Amino acid sequence: MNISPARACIGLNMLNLDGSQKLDAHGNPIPTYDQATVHQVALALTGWIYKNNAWEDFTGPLQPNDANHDMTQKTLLGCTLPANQTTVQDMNGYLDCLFNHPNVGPFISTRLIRSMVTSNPSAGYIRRVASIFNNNGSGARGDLRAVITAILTDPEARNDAAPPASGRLRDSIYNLVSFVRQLGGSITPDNGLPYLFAQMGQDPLTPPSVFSFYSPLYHDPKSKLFGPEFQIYTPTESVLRANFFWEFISNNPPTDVTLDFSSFVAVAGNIPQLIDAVDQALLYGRMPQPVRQSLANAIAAQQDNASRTQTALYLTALSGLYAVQY
Amino acid sequence: MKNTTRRNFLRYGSAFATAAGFSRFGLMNAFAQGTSDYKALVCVFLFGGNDSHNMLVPQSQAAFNAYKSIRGSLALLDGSAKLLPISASDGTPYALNDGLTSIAPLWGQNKLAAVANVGMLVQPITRQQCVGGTATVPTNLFSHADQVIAMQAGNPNGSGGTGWAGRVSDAVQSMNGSSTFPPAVSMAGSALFCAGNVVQSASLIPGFDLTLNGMTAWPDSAAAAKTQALQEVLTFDTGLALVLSADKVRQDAITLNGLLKNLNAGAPLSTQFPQTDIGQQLQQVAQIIQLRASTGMSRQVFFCSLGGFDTHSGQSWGQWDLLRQVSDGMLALSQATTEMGIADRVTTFTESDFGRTLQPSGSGTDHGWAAIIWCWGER
Repeated sequence: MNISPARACIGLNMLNLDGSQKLDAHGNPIPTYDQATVHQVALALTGWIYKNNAWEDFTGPLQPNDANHDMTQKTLLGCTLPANQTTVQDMNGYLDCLFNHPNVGPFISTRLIRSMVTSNPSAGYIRRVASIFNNNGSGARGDLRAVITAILTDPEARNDAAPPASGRLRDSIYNLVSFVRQLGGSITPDNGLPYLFAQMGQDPLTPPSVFSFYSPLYHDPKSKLFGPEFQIYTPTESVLRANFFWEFISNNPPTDVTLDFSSFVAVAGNIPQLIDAVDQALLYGRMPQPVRQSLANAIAAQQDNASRTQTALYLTALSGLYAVQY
Repeated sequence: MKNTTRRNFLRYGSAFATAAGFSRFGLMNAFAQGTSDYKALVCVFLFGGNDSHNMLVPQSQAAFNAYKSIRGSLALLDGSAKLLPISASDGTPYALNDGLTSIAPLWGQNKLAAVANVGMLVQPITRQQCVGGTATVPTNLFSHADQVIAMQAGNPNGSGGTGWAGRVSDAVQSMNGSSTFPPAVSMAGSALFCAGNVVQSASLIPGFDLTLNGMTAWPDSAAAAKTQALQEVLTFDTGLALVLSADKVRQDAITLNGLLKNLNAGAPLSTQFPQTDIGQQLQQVAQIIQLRASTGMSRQVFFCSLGGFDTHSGQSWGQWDLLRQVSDGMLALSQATTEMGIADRVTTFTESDFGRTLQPSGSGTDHGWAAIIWCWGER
């Protein structure tokens, strides 16, 4: 029995509502389950066969076959699945049990916040979102629409004066796709870009492990903060990504990408206006004054409006202020 | 993806350094102490949890019978792998999976060692204590994400945010004098293994040229203004930790590119490396070792990796082929260090998430605990 799946829903240790670990009397984490649980879950999940019982026929969902199902009673994760249940009844019983485990709210909420807003959410932020997962206000558990709304409208997500540990590094796909979208461009659906992402450790739809492209537990080695996306962002990837940006910005964008810089070029004769336009498009109008000055110096040295536009966009795209969403 | 590999490295090789460049990179220091003091560690991490039970198989009759009865359908030899007989120093017979054919001769030459039962422990523990839950075991055993961190961190709960090679590099930093070349380099993306408290992890994709394409402009003054502005943007203190970290990654790239461009590799190595991913990573290791006089480095650590060892099913051929790739790469690195005359100064070893269960589950095996690892080098 592969022991990985349950970890993806409830994690390894018992959690409080705010995502912190529950501790036993000796101050140690309390495991969510043990090997005996794994064994019981394995028994509960017996009886599933390939479509039409044809070995490795992946063309349809697995089918229940009660003749192959263990009919004994199972106890797992605080639930009891009575004896003599069918394959489907035990599967549903197990999923209901897993779904109602108290870890799901804080565990899933932490993962979603990290994926959408910040790598290092406060305990209060996790608690507010996990509470909505547990009860959307109308008594429903697991209402993901309400959970996402809670994540994106939380004061910590909307804080204009970002605290020092806030933000999350954009991964390469997110970074480059959002760049095109923020500039009003488009990418054809059948584009030939995936191999460029593969070079940066993010081959689309082809993650190297069950943890996708980077571990949710990874810490940025410099700040020691949580920074999962930093796992695939080293000097090498930073240059690959920068050169990808340059392909977009220069006069030779990849054939599957459409970008129109004419609105920037039109104002490039006026340096503050050009910087304002780039700042609004990429940094939500939050570019610090010293960075504006550095950009202005570089732009002023360029010979024509196209070069000025390229310089403004490129230097902004290479800044950590753009690499990190905050 | 790897098409540009050799071309770019030839470019590094053909670059020549100026006198000013040399002193900046610590060459004077290297001349002063000579390169005879050089030592390097090379880690080959087998991601997924290598089933080492089918890498080194007991051959004494009782042990082999026990192995065969527990392993069942996975017991070697099977249709996928043959066995290569070897014997331990006390004469006990063992056999290697013949995926390791290329390095098998190193065993007879006392250049290859198997280290059995390598894994994390919080305290000595008996089977009874483990099953009964009466002794403390490492945090989250059998979990890939956690055990990969623990093995690289070098402690049983994976804490601390540094890797043991990074801490080793911290400790021997003074031996690298004034060299600014990164002492702990990953060829396989960012690796906790290489991160110290002082030493920062650096990574290189084999053969990759770290030049930023968008920095050229006409006239030269326009390019210089861009370079100046980029430097200012990347060093501006935003007060945001992750932004500063992201900026530092790009600064490191610029620094590293400057170093690589100014190094003098000398004659290219004649050793041929396999065109596999791991083969190319190990070639890059050899090429950086070859640059040691230019980099001024005396102590270096390298991290390479190969994935795919999480063989829950279809293990036999899959593992045989992965071992073959590792073995062929290892042999090439061994030959390259001999070619450079430093075979007794480079020690290479494998690590993995964990070992795997002895009993099979279908056509594969489940996550286990300790495992056999390889060490090789010369005395």
